[in-house]
Amino acid sequence: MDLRGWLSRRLPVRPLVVPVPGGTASRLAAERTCRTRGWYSAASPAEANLLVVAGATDGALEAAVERVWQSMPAPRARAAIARAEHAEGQLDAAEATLRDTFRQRRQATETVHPGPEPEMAGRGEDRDGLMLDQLTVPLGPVLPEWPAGLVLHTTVQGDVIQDARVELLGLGQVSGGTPWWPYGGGTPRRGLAARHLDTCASLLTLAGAGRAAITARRLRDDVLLGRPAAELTGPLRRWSAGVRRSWPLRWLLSGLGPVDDDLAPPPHLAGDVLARLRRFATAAEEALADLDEDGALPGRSGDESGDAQWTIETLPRLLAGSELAAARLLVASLDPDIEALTGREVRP
Amino acid sequence: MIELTPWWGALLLPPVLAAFAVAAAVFDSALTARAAGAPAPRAAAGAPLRAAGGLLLQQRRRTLAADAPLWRGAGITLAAAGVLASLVTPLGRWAVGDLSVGIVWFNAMEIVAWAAVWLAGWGANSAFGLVGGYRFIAQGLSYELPHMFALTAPAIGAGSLRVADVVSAQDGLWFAVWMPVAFLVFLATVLAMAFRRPFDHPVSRDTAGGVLAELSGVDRLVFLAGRWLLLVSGAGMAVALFLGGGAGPLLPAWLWSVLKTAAVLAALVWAGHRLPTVRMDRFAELAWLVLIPATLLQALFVSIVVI
Repeated sequence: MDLRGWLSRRLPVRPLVVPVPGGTASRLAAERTCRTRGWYSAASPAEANLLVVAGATDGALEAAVERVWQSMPAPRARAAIARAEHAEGQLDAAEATLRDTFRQRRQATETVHPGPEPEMAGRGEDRDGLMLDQLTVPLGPVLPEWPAGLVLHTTVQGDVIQDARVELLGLGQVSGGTPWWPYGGGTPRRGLAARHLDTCASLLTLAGAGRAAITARRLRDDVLLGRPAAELTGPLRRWSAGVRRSWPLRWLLSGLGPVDDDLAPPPHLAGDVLARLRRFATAAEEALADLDEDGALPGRSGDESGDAQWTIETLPRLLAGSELAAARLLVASLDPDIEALTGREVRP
Repeated sequence: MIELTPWWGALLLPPVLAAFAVAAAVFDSALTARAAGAPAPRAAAGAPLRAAGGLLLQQRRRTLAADAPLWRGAGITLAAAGVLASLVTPLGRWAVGDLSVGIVWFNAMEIVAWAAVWLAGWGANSAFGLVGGYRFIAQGLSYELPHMFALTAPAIGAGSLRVADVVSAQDGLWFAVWMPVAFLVFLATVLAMAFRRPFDHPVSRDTAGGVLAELSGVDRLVFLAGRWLLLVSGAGMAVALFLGGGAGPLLPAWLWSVLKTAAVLAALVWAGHRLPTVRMDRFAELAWLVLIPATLLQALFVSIVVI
């Protein structure tokens, strides 16, 4: 009996989706397909067996993706989803490769490359004045719930970030404009509601609020697939109310990642992580109220590139002295749309 | 009332624990599938076993300059801790071991998990693994004292550290009824000990899986199995210490033990799906300002009642 083949056919697929600037539509299609097939996303290359690259990569981002691929243990397969409408076909093909024992046997003869070793950056005083080891830890570009194309080069003591520098990858391939708006031929309000829901989903996932996060993703996909507003109102309102009133979330997220007013943030990014989460949840609900009409848009300044520019300029200041957990929630709550920066002079 | 099993009882213990662990994993997977709107909930039932099969196929990963023996040994240590902790837990009328200090033994074996999780995080020589390890140490410092005080209450109530005595002391009234604080804190700290949500910060997605970040293949399988075994051992002990062990009408004692353990396990898994991850800074605050005083007052109350 071919035990290996038998197990291969039953292997659960664990995708690791790499978001790429300009590939938002591909990412959304890939995430939706994976979700409806019951493929739960992996947290790390070690856990993953399917690498999904959502969008076209180049240069440094290409190299980073290649390193992740090299460090994935067999059985493994990869799918490059350049266009959203090809997502299902590409994922089908990748799944077939993953379950093909002959091709996997060949893969397994290649060695798995170990990931990069943490780099010592010497020693320094920590926030309590103790001399401690410092590590150089890059955050991104391949990390769960992380903005496409963003890399933070951090110096870390324990789990406290001492210093952070921003680098942006993969902007060369972006044609400009943010794909949230024209996606699926929907109205701007649908795009906006989806954008808010997407931000909330990442943030809730990192906060460990799994159910609320999954609901946000399902609603996001429904909004983008053009489900009638009348059918969406009830579930969206329930979800939004649940997120805004949840006392565990209030206890866990209040006071975290505060953005002071003297940093002149865009109004919807002010306050702490909890304030931003509640604001986005409310705005998603408001956008739905007249989903298929044009007109003023709630919850965002409408200037995605200005918001993203402010975020990448301010992040190093916001992150210094922050714990890793708080830093991750902060970045997810600001959720800069890096691909909106193409039209601008980019200065991290 | 509690009898020692013959020597082969010790051989039966791991499969019994494993059966509970698989059942809990299936329930967990069904809850996840339902929330995700994934097709065929029936397929979700097989998902944990299919995942285990997948991990048997997967290549073992290595990292640069890893401390391989400690790193790869972590999963075995964790699984061993779960099994050894259950050595003193009775199933109905039978127990594999009946130590006069059974509760202390149980607690000591659980603490082995500290070493296991820390070594898994540290041994991989990876920044995220290390952060996961730090988080588990901080978590341990927060949950262990409330956990020990919660264990103290039934021991005082029965006037003995022998698990069999604690079970028979609940002849009239289950300890869960008149020591509710100790019972609830015990359940919460069992979740923390098995680093399951809401106490899954050491393996959280924000650090790409934390102590699990670099584990693959059979190493990952053993580690995850050890984590479930630890949860099962905690649920089993909760039944013995607080829910009257195998006591109950009509059904045989062993079946009562099985049903109660399954119910406690289901409640623990379900709670994990309802609550968000508690970060270390907030948990430390909660543990030291609320849980420790509450369990101390509970122990004081029990002492006064006993006297």
